[in-house]
Amino acid sequence: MKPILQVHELAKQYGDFTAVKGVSFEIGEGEIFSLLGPNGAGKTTTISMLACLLQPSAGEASIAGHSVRREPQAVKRLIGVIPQDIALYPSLSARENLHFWGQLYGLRGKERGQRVEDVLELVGLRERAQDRIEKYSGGMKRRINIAAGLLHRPKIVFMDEPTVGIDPQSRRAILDMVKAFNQQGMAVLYTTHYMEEAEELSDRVGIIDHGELIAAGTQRELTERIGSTETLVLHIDESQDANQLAHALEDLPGVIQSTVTDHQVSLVTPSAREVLAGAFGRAEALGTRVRSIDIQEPNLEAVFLQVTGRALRDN
Amino acid sequence: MKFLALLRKELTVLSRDRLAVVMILIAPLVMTTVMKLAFGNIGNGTNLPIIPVAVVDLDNGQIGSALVNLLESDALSDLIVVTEVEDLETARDLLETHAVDAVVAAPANLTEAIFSGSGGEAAISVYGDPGQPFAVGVVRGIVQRFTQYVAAGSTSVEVTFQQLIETGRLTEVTHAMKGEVGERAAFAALESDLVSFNEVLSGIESVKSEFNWFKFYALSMASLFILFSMVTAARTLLADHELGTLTRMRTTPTSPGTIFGSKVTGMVLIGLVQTIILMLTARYFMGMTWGDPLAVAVLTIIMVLSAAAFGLAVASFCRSTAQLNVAGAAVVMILGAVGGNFMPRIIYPEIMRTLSLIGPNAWVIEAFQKVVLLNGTLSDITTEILALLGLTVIFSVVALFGLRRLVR
Repeated sequence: MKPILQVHELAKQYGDFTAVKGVSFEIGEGEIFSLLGPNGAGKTTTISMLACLLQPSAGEASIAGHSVRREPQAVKRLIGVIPQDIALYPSLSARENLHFWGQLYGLRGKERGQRVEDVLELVGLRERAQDRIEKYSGGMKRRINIAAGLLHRPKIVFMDEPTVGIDPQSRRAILDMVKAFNQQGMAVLYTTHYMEEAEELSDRVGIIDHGELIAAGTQRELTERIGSTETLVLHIDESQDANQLAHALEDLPGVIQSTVTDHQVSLVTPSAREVLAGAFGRAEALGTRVRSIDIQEPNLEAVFLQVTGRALRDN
Repeated sequence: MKFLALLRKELTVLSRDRLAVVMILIAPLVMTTVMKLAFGNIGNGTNLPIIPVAVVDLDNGQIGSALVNLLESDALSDLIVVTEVEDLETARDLLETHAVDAVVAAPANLTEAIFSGSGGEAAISVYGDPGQPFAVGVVRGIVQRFTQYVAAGSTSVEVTFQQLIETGRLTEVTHAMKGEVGERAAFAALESDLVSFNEVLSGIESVKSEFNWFKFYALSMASLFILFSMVTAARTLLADHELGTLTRMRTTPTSPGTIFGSKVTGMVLIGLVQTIILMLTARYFMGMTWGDPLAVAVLTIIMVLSAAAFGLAVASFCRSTAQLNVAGAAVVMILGAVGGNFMPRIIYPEIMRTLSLIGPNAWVIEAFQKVVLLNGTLSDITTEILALLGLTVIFSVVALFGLRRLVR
């Protein structure tokens, strides 16, 4: 697959703090690549550099061969940026907003009019297009926010956590939209801290934490890295000490890793069934009541847990 | 294309912002209408009280006499009533007992000092009752006009004298000769130039008859509300930052120059529209005349430019639109008080009059008063225009420096 985006040792430094530490990856034409990581991992900073909003401190990135450092105008014609927060004019209607952003992308006349109607159709808001954005629900605003970044048929779309803080229905609609415009040939760089979204959408996933790209590949490649392990999750009462239990389970035979998230303890193990009895025994000895358990097959959460030593939800 | 799209968006968003519409269009019109209703019938000299003035002529020369003649002339009889006294002590007694509002004193040797070229050392003094600032201001204004006239006459004599020396028609010059020749020449000029002297009187008469509180406040409101409007319009820049739309614009193939240029153009257009609407309303619904069209047009453009730069400079110090709403109003109100938007600057003490020049509004009022009240032309307001251009540059530099944080 021909790469549309190439990133090589890209870094961003703010004084003594390094936000992004030399990340490298590629995205092929028409591919969906997710950057999965907790808040503050460096996802937004990476996208900002690729969108020519921030000058990299080191490294290089190019879109279809155009350098983000030296040819920002050429890069901006090829990318569509969908910001994390709604970036629209509340007092303008959806259609007025889209025409405005279309003009800034250089679209003219009938072509612009057609594209505006196309993206309104794509996001399912054609019949409400005359309404002002300020009258829209949060989910509808998100959909127009996405539509504004697709008007000029970008080669690659950067989406920075587009589902943060929205209801499940709108989230579902957005994920379906990403698939729909991806099917039209647009590559997608999608950042998220929701493992389920990365799993559902991505052709490949990059795991980023503390500014470093720790692992990248298809989901199969990533889960194979952790071998045939399972994750046993013990849910305990809020009044009880999860840290104490996790500590007590660390040296339980068969447990590779023990971590705490909120009121649950996760154990990475080759066989959940084999450690289950021992885990219950030690919990009972500590006087900790286990309310329920989950056994998870190898997934990105487990991968993140293993490569960072922390659960995604810890952050 | 992109510039026009940005400009159209700018104007559309502003036109749908109720606060902006109120501040930019409705408030100035309402204020001007209120001023018309309140002061429309006051002015044309008819309602101004006659100001009691004491004059002391310690000069006993040509200039002192001319000053007394001017103050006692018929042209000023419906504005001031003059009492001649022998010495300063008597004059001060009259002032302290509130028998007069102001004292005008021509110092000893005033004529000689002026004709010998050292006039600055012997200036005419005006003492005033602190409780009558407006009366004192009017008297000070009359004396200033007289002094300017005398200074101009003296300078022309000095120039003539220098030309005589340079052309070799006078070769040996002593100080005494210079004084004698200068004095004769000046006397001749003063006597032969009665027409010009009458112009001073008619100028004062013109100011007196043309002065009217409505005109003063119409000019003041125009110069004050343009500052409010431009601070309000500058909000859109911070609003774009808050909405994230400024960042989004920067991800499109649109240059920063186009983005900021369209913002400034939008502000200037809004300012021009506001001022023109105010002027036309005052002209056609309130009967106000605006004077020389060229001078008014140039002054209006410069006023709007300086106000736009001012608005952006104020915005550059604010972190949010909410902060700008409060800080902007406070800064404009303070500037309005200092700059003479609420009372004529002529009644301010010297230090306040100097301080008032830090803001564009004082220069704008000064220039508009020259054009509207004194029938001045573009050449009469060159100083004010240059000062406003200078302030525009300073405010622009401050704004550019401060607003860089928005694109970091």
